Amino acid sequence: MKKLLAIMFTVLIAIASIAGITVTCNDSTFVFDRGDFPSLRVVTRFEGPQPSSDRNGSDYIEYEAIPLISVLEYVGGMREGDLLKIEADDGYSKLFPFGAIYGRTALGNPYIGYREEKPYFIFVPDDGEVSNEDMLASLGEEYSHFYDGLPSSKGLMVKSVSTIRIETSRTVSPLIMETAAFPGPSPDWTVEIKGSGKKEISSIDFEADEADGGHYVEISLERKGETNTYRAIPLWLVVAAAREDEQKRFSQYRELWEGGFDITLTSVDGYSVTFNTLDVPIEAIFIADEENGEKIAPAIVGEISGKLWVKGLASIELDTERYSYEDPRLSVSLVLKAGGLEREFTIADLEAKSYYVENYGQYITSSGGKHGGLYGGVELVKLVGELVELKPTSTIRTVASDGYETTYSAGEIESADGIWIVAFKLDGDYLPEDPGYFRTIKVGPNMPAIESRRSAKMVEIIEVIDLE
Amino acid sequence: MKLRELTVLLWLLLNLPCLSFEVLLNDESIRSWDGSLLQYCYDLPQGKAIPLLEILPPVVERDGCFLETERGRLSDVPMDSLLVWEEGDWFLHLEGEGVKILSVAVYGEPIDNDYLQVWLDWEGITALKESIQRFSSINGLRIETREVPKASSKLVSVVRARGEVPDVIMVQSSDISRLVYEEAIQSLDYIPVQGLSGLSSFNYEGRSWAIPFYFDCQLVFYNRGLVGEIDPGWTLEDLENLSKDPGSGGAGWNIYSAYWFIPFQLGFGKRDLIEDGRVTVLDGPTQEALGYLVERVDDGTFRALERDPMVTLFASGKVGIILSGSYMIEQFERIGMDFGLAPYPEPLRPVLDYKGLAITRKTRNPILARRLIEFLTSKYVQASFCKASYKIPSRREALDGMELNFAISSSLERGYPLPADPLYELYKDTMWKLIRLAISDRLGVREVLEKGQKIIDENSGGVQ
Repeated sequence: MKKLLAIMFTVLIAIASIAGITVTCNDSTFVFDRGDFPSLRVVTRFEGPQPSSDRNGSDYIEYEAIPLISVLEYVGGMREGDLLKIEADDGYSKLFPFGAIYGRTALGNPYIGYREEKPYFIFVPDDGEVSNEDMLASLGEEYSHFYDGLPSSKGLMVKSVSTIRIETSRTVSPLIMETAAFPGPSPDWTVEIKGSGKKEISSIDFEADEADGGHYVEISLERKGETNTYRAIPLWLVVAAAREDEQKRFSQYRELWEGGFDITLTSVDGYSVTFNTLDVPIEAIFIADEENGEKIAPAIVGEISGKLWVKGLASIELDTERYSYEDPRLSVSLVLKAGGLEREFTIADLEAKSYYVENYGQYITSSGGKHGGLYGGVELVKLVGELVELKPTSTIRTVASDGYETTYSAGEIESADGIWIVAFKLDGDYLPEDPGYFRTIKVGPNMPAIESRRSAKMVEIIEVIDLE
Repeated sequence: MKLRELTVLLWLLLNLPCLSFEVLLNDESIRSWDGSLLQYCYDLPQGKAIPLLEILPPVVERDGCFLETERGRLSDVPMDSLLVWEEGDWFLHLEGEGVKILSVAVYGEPIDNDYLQVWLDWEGITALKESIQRFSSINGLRIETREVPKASSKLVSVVRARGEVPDVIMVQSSDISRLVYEEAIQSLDYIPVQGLSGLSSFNYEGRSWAIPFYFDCQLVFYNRGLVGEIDPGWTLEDLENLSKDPGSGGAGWNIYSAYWFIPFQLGFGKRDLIEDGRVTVLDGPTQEALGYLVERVDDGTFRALERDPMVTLFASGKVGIILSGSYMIEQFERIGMDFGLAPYPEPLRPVLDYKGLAITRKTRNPILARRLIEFLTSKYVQASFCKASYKIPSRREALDGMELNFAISSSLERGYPLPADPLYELYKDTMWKLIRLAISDRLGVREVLEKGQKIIDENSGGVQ
């Protein structure tokens, strides 16, 4: 009987293991199978409930672990404000904020670790120990775990994970689902404004402005050989009024417009167009709600390109912060020299290349320390191929910002156990200035390991030398 | 007469017959076409010809189009009327008659930006680039085409990173819900779609998000040397019998895949994958279909083969019959295989997998993007592209003009276009793992479907 039970138990474990973990975000689901992902060996331990400075750490435990972030990408990943719920098959669950999963807190990186065929949700910090102090510092009281009123990081570890759920308030924009009448007169209309303090403007706002003797102007515009008269408010005034900082809005808005930012206009029929304010004079573009004395659905009019005449305006999206959001590292560049030619590529250029890849790689220092993760970069052979074809006799030399040179033979670069790339991303983030924006590394699903001296850092120049 | 004047006169005399007609935009000449237009022409029964639509300069909105001919001015000329090259001149063919063209005049606001970036994916990119290059060259535009594998995922990354987006992107039905959710593409309800099939594949939440361009369909490929000829009116029982014949090499395909399972579900009586806004897999037809496949794999009638081994075994003559997509025709022809095509046996319904063209929400040039899509989905461009790349055009007129293999044409009649609903993705992702458990006998059919239904039900709330 015992034997039968043991067999049944083993079968159940096998089925559970085969069936995998369900990963969901509200519009997509993915059944996670450990066999589909490369894994690492990691060691970590958690701390139990602790009333004082006495330590109550468990033993270090080794897991075969898969980076959770790479799994989450299959359902679109998390965004700021999202929560991640890890559920066990016995109903136990823990909730983690975005920052704990993506933020490189003191908890380290999250993994699905396997031990005795059971999946565990774990964190692996640099020092290998998830202390209660780390937990409180990283998660605050709201998301930390307490046992009998005492902090206990052990509770962050979830055993026998069955479901990983991204809880998000993201929904499809109601604007896009809207099927408002178009383009007939619409006495009660609203236009959504995104990227500003106020969320919408409406026909009521326009009427109030008119009653105040405000900003309405009457303009005559010729289009398709016909001249029409519109009652309209300059777009910039509407947009400035929608910003929260009312004191500053008008005085500074012109400056902001002239500094250049993107505005996206969308119609209720779906038509959408983006322009930069640098390309359209501030006085040239209006929102009209009356044409030749008759009320109309809100429309963009003006001495502007026909593509910007948006009828049935449904939304205005301001991207005033786009340019400041742009990671400055995207403009860092790398120089390629080959065959007497020279070309410069920014990180943005390289990331757009069809031969941009992401895969696992690692380098090992002389003291045995392992460093690695999910690298993103361009295949070295294909990058060189932008200028010359790599010959068997060719040598590639990398020159770092401190002048240090590393050379690679064509044979080494074309080795079968991985792909050599020029990496500029690690675990989804761009490499930092220190120790340098570009690094050579070999990557592959089996996480090939190379000596750290072969992984050139701070690379600025890549040069192909043909030996005849 | 001075030598210089003589030279000019001689040059004019030599070139006059070749300056066949002018194209005017708002009464200004923007180009002249002579024999140089021949490079863009199609070989049609009428001769070297090009439809009028393809030589009209793109404008924001066309306010008028007139053709000056030797018989006077013509308006309201159908856009698909052909311009035919005859003895060194261009003739407009209208109602079976040819009339010599002197000029083509278009009125409308010129497009103020001549640059577009287009992201391409899947097979046939070379032919598609050529078509886009034609549009670009004829109209003097700067259109950058980029081959971007998994273009929709890349677009989502770019949108999230607030990067510069392309203007046009190729998509498939399963991309739509995510791209809509990420606000990466715009609804194309404003583009007329008369004459195009596959609209449901890009219709989501009652709006149209991409214009169908071409599609692939599931087919039966067989090795003539092993199997002989297959009667296109065959049934599933015929497939079983043929597969059991030791000389045929047997039939095998990716039975594990949900994509290849759908025809069996539909063939065994399921009306639609998504019924009343719900995905049901715990039903009679699905259970019967999965039970059938499990039995036939167990008794050795069919072989479950992943895609790569399936292709290798078929190409090497070790498997005689496979189920694959029309996109594989080119590959098998290239290696010189003697193979035949058959429609799916009755009562199976093959899947029709549409690819479409979407316009990004943050494009700076939506009008030109639209004109490019209108060009690419026009009759002759589609026919030419699809012929070169073994695709099936979404425009019925283009399809009517092609000599389609009977296996393909009969598949179209009972084909099932994949839906754009995110529930389909949920279905596919769930069943992808579970079918394997049933086929490999690790779980029973009912158990698999119960588990699948549970996963689908638990997750479909978020999807909807």
